[in-house]
Amino acid sequence: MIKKLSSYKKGQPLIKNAYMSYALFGLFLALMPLFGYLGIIKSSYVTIIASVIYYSIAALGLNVLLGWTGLISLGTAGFMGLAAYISAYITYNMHLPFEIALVTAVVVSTLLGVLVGYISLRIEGIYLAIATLAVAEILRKTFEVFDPFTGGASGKPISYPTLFFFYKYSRADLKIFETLLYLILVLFLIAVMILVHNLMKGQVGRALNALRGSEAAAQAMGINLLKYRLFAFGFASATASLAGVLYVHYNRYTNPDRWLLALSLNLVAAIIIGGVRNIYGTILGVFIVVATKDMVLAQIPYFANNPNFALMFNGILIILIILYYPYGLIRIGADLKKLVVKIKEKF
Amino acid sequence: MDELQNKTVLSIQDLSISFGGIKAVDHLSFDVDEGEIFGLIGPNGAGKTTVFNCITQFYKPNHGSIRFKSKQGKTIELTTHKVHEVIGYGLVRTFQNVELIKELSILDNVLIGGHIDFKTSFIGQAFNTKKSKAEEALYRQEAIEILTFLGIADRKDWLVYGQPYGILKKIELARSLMCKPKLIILDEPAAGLNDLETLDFAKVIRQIRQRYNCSILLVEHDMRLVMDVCDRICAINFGKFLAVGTPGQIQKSPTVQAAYLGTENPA
Ligand SMILES: Nc1ncnc2c1ncn2[C@@H]1O[C@H](COP(=O)(O)OP(=O)(O)OP(=O)(O)O)[C@@H](O)[C@H]1O
Ligand SMILES: [Mg+2]
Repeated sequence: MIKKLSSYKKGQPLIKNAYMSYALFGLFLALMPLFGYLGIIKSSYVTIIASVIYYSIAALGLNVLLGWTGLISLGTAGFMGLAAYISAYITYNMHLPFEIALVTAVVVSTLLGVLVGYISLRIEGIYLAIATLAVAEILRKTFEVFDPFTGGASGKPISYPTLFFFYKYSRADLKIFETLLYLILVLFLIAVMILVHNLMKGQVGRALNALRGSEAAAQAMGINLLKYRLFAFGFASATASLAGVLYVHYNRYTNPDRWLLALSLNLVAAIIIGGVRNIYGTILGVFIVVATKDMVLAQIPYFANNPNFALMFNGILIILIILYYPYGLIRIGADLKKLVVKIKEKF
Repeated sequence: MDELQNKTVLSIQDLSISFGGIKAVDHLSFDVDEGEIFGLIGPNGAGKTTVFNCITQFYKPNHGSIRFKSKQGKTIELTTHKVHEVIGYGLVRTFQNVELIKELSILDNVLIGGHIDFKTSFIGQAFNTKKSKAEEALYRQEAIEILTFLGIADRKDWLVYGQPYGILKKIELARSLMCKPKLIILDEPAAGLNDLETLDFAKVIRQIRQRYNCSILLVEHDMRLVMDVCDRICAINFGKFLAVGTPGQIQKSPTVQAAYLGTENPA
């Protein structure tokens, strides 16, 4: 009896100190350009891993909203795009440093996110999904028609921004800027991971869990639904806009087609595949959704010749996981360990 | 609004609420005293839970007043407050149909009861400051003490998911104790307990009163428990007041007997 019940206990992580594990993970990611340079990995992989990083930043915030708080948003791409355009405009057209652009872009789209959160108090479930989707679509249309700011449908190419308020880009420093921006991506990812970790393990995380698990209990325990819903929406839009800013400066380009509903849906899928309410799970999920196609499946001749099947593979994976593995692939390690223990006990 | 008299902690006057055509609570009045264990009884559908929902502001009554002597020592009219503000005055409740967060550990569920006591800001928590850590450790310790008091500390790290019903009821009770309440409202706290556990539970209720120096207002269908543990009881039927008095008086009351005989055995 005790044995059986204890299987519902929380699993123990591989590295006990969470901060240590985040630091090591960050170091590992930071070494990728070096690995690329040394030929240990294809240098094109660094770009793919960079995309995993910025999408993971957005996905972590979305997990706070979707996983912890239980509220759906299909607007992530819209908020990412908005911040990307704002930051591109401020650095490229107004010639202001990266840091100023970053703060402005994040603040503006976070405020918009909070506004959407306010709407969420009145509507729920599928209606909320549609409302957030509508906001994102309106934003995307705006990117198309607001030519002078956005470059319209043909997109907006920009050059690298001024970093740290003094370091101006020149062609000779191309490699350095590329690497610096990559390292900035890693730094922000680790910061967001730690932020989510700290917030979700304590009072705020419990409050969001309560919002999802039982609104009645939450209210009876003094949790202000409005305040925490706004927080969740604000947090998700803040990370989405941070990701958007990093996206546009790393890629030095954006166009309206980068911010389609498909992206928002992919991020939701990543969370479900990787692990709801799980930090590493989120990143694993993003990796599976955005990188396996190019880094794993492309190695298999069949998928290399039929790239559309790679997309189907992702779809099937999502369905299978929802049906049979609702806590996401990140649990696979712990579950395998349990299985081994079980088998050992039998023999 | 009149101040509550010295010994009254909760005063319900002329409370009414209806849903569509049904008068769930109909001009009901009763008082609960400081340090009192007070029972609210009535057949199924009598309106007991609805009364609790009105007191804790989950429902806004159509009519009547609900005054409460708050932890801060002020008399407040509860109906003018929002549902999440109620606990701050020292009034906490449990639910008839357990309201817990299944995916969290028992300890984390209990800690939700300490929500309003946390003083560290979002920023402080984000940076995991010393103050934040100290506060978390303090309340964690308190939660463990409460779980020990209720005899379920050995399971503190288990998920709520999969726990038996009697344990779930205890977790809810533990959660309600985190805020050091002045009045606890319990909706069928002994549901899911066997005879032996119910006997034990009577002791626990008395101990809670002593430990927290609080009043307890409870709804319970187990008449032995109610008669054993309550100082006074109010009986209602169809949302209407029937009688109030000591367990002895209630048992002898002809109106109460009639109400219960008119329906199925309440236990
Ligand atoms: N939200 C609601 N909407 C409509 N009717 C309601 C609502 N809440 C309660 N009622 C009705 O009010 C009446 C009293 O219900 P209540 O749950 O308060 O009874 P109770 O005394 O707690 O019963 P039990 O002993 O079965 O828990 C019932 O007829 C019930 O259907
Ligand atoms: Mg009831």
